[in-house]
Amino acid sequence: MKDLLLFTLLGLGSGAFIAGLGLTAVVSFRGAGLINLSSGAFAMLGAYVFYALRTSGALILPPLPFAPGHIQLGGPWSTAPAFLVALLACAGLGFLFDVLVLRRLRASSPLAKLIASLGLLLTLQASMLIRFGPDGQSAPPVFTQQTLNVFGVPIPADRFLFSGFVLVTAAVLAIIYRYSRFGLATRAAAESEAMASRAGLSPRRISMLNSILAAVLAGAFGVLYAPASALDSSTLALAIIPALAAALLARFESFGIVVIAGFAMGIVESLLTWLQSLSWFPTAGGNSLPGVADLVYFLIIAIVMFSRGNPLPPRGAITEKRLPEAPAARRIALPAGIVSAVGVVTLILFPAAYRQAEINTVIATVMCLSLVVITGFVGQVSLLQFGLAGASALVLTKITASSGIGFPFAPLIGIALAVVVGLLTALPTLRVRGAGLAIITMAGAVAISNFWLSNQTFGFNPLNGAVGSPNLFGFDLGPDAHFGLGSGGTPSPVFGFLCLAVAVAAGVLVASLRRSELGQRMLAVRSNERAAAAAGISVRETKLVAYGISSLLAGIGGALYAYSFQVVDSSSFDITIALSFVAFAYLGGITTVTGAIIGGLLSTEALLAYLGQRALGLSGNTLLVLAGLLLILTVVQNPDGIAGVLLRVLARRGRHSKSESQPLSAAAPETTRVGS
Amino acid sequence: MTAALRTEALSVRYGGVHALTDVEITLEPGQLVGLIGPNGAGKTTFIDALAGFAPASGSVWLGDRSLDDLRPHQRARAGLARTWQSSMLFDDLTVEENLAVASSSTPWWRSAGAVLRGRSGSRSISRAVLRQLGIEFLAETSATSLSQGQRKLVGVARALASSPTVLCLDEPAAGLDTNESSALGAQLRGLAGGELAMLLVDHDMGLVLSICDVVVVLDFGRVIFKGPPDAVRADPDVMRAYLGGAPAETPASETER
Repeated sequence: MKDLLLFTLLGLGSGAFIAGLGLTAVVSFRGAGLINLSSGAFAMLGAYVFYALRTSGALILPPLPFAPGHIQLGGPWSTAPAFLVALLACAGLGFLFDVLVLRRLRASSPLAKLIASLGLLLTLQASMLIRFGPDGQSAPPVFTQQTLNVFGVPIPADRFLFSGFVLVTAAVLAIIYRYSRFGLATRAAAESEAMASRAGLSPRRISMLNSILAAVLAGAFGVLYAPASALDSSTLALAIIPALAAALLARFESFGIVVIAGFAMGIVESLLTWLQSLSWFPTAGGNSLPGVADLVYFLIIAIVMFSRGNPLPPRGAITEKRLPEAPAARRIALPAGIVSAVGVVTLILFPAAYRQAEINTVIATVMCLSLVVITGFVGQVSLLQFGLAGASALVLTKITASSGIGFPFAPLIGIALAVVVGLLTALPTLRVRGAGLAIITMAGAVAISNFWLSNQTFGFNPLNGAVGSPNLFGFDLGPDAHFGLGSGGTPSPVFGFLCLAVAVAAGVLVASLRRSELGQRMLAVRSNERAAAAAGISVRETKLVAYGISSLLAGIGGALYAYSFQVVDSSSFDITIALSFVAFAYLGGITTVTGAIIGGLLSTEALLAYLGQRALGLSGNTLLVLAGLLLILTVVQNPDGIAGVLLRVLARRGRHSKSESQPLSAAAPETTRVGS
Repeated sequence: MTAALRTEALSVRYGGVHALTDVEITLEPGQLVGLIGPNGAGKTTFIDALAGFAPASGSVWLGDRSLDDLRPHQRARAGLARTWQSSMLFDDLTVEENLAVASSSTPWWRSAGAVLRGRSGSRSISRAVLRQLGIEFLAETSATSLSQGQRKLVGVARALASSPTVLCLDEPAAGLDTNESSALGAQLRGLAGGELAMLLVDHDMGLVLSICDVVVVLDFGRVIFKGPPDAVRADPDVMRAYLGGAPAETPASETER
């Protein structure tokens, strides 16, 4: 009983933080229509600015070329001014993000805004990694460090103080939104911007004020909670996932429900920690289960959303505004041939390090193709695909380590399992769409990664040994295979050929899918689910087929990764990497095979990144900062991604040289010729 | 002969609001039935209930098949097609592709096989329907670049592409000018007959009365009149429903996005 109380109270800290971030998520949504993935990153930013000033008097600066990392402002500051400057930094960034990004996305879909905030999250995380490195810092306390005795249980007093702070904030927010002119105008603006203008406040200013408010609050929560948590680049930033879950439960509306849900989540997490110490609680081979709370969060969200969702969007529902165009490829065989030829030649000629980068590119392209099918064709933003790749890699590792099953059956089993898991997790999401789906699948990805892949016993464990090399009819196709030509070294070009062949086949599959009747059905579902159903298309079946194909591609990517890494670690498939992949796929072009290839080239440790490191001396984190900023720019300026720009330029060229015969606005007219 | 479409005590309730109450309508094969009524009378809700988009009690029979337990796409495949007030074309597809996805009932595993063999969707029915409506020249145009009138026609064409036995048209003339509207009327008249029965919902009384065989008037979710077009204007209940008796000749206020 005493333990129950102890752990309930210990959960107050993280519960209050989740609740607090949930509040900022609601403010962002009500004020600016934004599902804000970057709230946690603002908390992290505030905590770091405070940390640097408080401990050494340094004001950190954004990572700009040729600029210093920080300005030294005397010795360590005292708490109050450091806190104030931290909040000012958050306010400034919130202001910039609103004016430069959200203002231009006013007419865009919630999804576009969400992706922009993802760009900001990645940028901020990478910036902090550049400034402070991957190791956590010990955050200076703000509250008193005393402990209180509650029924004989010692509890740090700061948990109560922080909880009180969050509760007061929630109450104040609720009052402001209910009674003040600003609050009324915000509520009116959420309904219709014209109405808000009539209330005498411009929608622009409302959005800006709310963005700044959300940023400042997030920063304050970060500064106050960091001492009880960890000050690193991921803990505070990724607390946004349960926070968004809490906000989702509150329909991004009620501050009261957010607070209750947030606290409940923190307390559940803490109680699960306690339960795991009890003898009856299931363990994995004697080790406690990691990520149980993440699994519970995912299940709660999935159940709530499923029971609330509709198989079809209701009449008059605001449907997602259009996604970027998804033109069908005019030719498939020729580009596939060119890509294969270039790939083979470069694999042979490149020195080993570049060859590794090329192989990374090729595998990343397969992962991006998986996103093209599910997001580009059917319009479903799923962040789960990378977790599925991890599942496939895991099964492959386990099978080759423990049994005699080898290539190609072991990877096929892994891929099949990825498809099964993909379809199972897709089932509860069929009734959820748009940004809600992004949140569910994000929670799902975290659950898969933390509960399953990170588990020492039934997840990845480096001690289990390496993945067996792929062998076919006695020929080694793996990274250590012998190959006589070229510069030698590992990985072997032979393994590159294997990856390339698989990726080209995947690209051809996706391009043919776009042209086929099945692909047309997917685009019909993407355009309008109700109209699709009225045209005799089973929306559920079409989505499931898309999930199946997307999971298949993700499973293939995962198997190739496993062969490439040889010893696989669960961190290769965690949520940060999954999120960055969504960014790269979107940046390249989420709707086309060309876009997937560009996304593959851009991704971490792929060719462009490696070139940037070698030729320009840019670190991986600098490139991530760039990628995040580019992602924001893409969403604002050019939702078709880099591939969209490329195809438009080529189309214009083509029209100049071929006279005016082919309007290439959608390139789709050409499909007729191919089909008949 | 079995009716093409028959409803029995079809009712829709949203909370405490009775959107439709015990509506009973019969469409004979080849018949063109007009459904009119003031704004909010439940006309679109009726089509939604027929097509499975609104939760309804009572029954819907298509020929001798009950549609009650079927989901929207199954009703469409059974032969009940509908259009939308705001066209709702698939903007990512060309006109021909819009029709092709509606005309096909290939199961997914077979279409997945077609992907592997590099086949594109079938085109024959789509072309025939476009020709029938005189818009074959639009086949390869992207749905986004159509004019308002063209969007309406393509919406009708897409509904026809599934070779339905019953076609429900939700305000096909809304947003069209007088000439376009009467041209559309002539085309619709030409489509009826044979096996195809049509239910036409429209605000344009002139259009409805001039081409329909039977007219049904809805008011507050109830049928207040059922009979030949000539008798409508004389009916006192209908006059009352339209407040002051002047049938709304004004074009619909709803416009497409």
